[in-house]
Amino acid sequence: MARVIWIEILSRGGQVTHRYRCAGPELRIGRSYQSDVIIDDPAVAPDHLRVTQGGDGAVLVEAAGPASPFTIHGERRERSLVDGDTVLRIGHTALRIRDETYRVPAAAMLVEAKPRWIELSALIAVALLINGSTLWLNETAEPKTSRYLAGMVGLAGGLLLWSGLWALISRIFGGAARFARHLGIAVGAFLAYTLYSFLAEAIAFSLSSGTISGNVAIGFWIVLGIACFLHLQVIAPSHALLKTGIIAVLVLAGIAAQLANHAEQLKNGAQPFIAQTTFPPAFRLARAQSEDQFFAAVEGLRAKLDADRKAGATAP
Amino acid sequence: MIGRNMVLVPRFALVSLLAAAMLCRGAPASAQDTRAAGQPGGETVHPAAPVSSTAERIFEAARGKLLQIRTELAASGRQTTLGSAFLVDGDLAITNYHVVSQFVLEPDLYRLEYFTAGSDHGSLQVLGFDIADDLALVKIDRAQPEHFVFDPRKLDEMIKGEQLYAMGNPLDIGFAIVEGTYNGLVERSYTPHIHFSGAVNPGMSGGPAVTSNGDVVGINVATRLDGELVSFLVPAQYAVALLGAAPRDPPKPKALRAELARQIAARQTALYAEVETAGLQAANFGPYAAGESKADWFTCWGQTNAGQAPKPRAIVETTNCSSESDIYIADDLHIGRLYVTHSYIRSADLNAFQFATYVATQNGLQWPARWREKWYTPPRCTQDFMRGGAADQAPPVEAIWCARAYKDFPDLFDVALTTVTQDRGTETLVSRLSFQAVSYEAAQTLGKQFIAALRWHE
Repeated sequence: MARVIWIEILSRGGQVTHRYRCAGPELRIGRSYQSDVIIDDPAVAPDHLRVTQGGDGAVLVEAAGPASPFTIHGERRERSLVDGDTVLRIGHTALRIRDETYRVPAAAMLVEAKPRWIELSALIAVALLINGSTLWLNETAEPKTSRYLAGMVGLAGGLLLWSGLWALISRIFGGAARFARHLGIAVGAFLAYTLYSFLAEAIAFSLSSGTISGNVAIGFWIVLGIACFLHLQVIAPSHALLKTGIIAVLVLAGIAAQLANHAEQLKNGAQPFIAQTTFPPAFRLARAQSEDQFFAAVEGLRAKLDADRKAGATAP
Repeated sequence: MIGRNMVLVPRFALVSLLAAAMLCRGAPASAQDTRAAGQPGGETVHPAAPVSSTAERIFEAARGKLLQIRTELAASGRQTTLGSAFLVDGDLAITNYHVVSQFVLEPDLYRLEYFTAGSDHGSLQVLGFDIADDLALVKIDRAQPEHFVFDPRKLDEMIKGEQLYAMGNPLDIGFAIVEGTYNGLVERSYTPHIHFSGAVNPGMSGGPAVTSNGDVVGINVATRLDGELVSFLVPAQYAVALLGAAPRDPPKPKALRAELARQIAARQTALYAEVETAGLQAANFGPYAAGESKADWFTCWGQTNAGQAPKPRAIVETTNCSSESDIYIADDLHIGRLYVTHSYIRSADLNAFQFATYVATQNGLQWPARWREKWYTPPRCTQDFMRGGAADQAPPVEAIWCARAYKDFPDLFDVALTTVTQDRGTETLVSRLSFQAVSYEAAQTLGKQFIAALRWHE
């Protein structure tokens, strides 16, 4: 008994873009109108593939002519038995063949219902509020309404633009825009970085640590990397390891570029890392050092300066 | 402010070669010294001469004793700087160190040449210099028949208003004589300079300033750009001393460079020892008292933002004290100036967070001079939260110590010590002490003095 055969055309990302229902056991695939499934791909022959289903349900694919081979996993074939998960490539087109007996998994838990606009709006409101407070805490001149409005609009615009770009990429490569999820990630990353940098600077101040203060920006790259990873996962949740690897390399490159830049500026006389006193004295955690302890550190600096001198002396 | 616009006159430092005999003070008596006696240009009296004829007579007598010194590129012979000099004995002439500094620092790149008023010229060599007073003793390739003599009077025997005549070759347009007035020693200056009210122009550096007798009382060295006719002379006594102390055989370039490092270290050690001995006096800023140097060559200026519109949200009252004690080493290196800055800041209507942000904008590290890779290692800093005295006397401070070393001069550093009081949320004193070319020990000693002086004043 002839079964129903489904031909599924796949996108580059492996998503089904078209699905054709055909009556078995034999059918033709090609660009011509004699085909059962017509593929508008200039690299596909008018009569490209023959598909035959045997009585035992096995599906045999054959090239219709010598000029119309197909590939499986990049391997050129003229004839092959395929199952429902085998992806064939003809010309630029990827496709797979399933019959009605193909077993699909049970329904997954409903993870994503509707975008949670209310929660998202609350998150955005928090972000704007935090942004406004930061502006207010750093306000040392005459307060100007325009500054706050510009700050808010700038943040909102930036987040929308960022999420919009990811949604666009998502739509192109993943099939769906998923704007709300991208926006959620962007707002989350903003909040995480704001919180992180506040804490890091507060700690740098409270411990008087120029080293911490100078390296706060490293966190920026890490947060950015994590956000990009999440955006990519939203587009297509696959190749997590590869993505992690690529992003890690980019993040490290970013950090290295920043550190190298500072090291070079330092060579040109830029100010060394100093923990700025941007917090009220109440944030002090470290015990005040005695004069002797401080000058012991000062004396310690001397050896480094002498080494610098030795390394950099221009006179014979 | 003072001194900021003071420039040396090197680009065209004109050295008039004044062939004065140097025997007067401490100079070893040499055979030529006797020539000083009976020197023309002074003893002849022209009783009824109008003023202009004095200058005429002096210049006539000085013509043959003046030199122009050119620093030239060794490779192409093109001149790079011009200055003046004056003969003091046979083939010896005095000029400014800054006239010959390029050669001293880079003997492979530059060479020196002299020209007389009669367009005679030849080579010259540097015998020695006095870096603290910006003088150099040079030897020309052949002895000249005439030379200047130094005025035997001490400076305190001179009275303000005495007519002096500065000579040199301003701007390379020909030897000239300039009439001006002696106005005593410059006040509030660590380096002794005569205040000469007359037009000293670039190119005249190293030239002599003489009395109406033609005796040298000073050497043209610098002028103030923000004034009119405010010029400076190095008192002649330092030239006399240099003439006595410098060797007669030209040292090798390497030895000159070593001598430079030695003199800088000695001069700076003396300077900082004086700062230390002078000690600090307390000045009050709101609830705080902080130290200012008692040395009388410090000048302090105050400023505030209180009058600005719109009304500032934190009031800053700043006192900037700086010492008139820098010396010329190279065109891009003047060292020896000290800065003490106190900024008392209190919030008008900023909260503690806003105030802290405001304060942070005030305490960035500012080096007293532009950073140059050629001279300095990259700066390094250490900082900590500290308390200099007992808890009931001194406020806790954030202390930031930044230093950079001089690449070519051993044990010399630039140091900046900044303290920001950390006892109140909306009121603070930001203090900074900056030294140039200081030994690390002296910087620490002075830094401790400075921190010890920081207290609550009630």
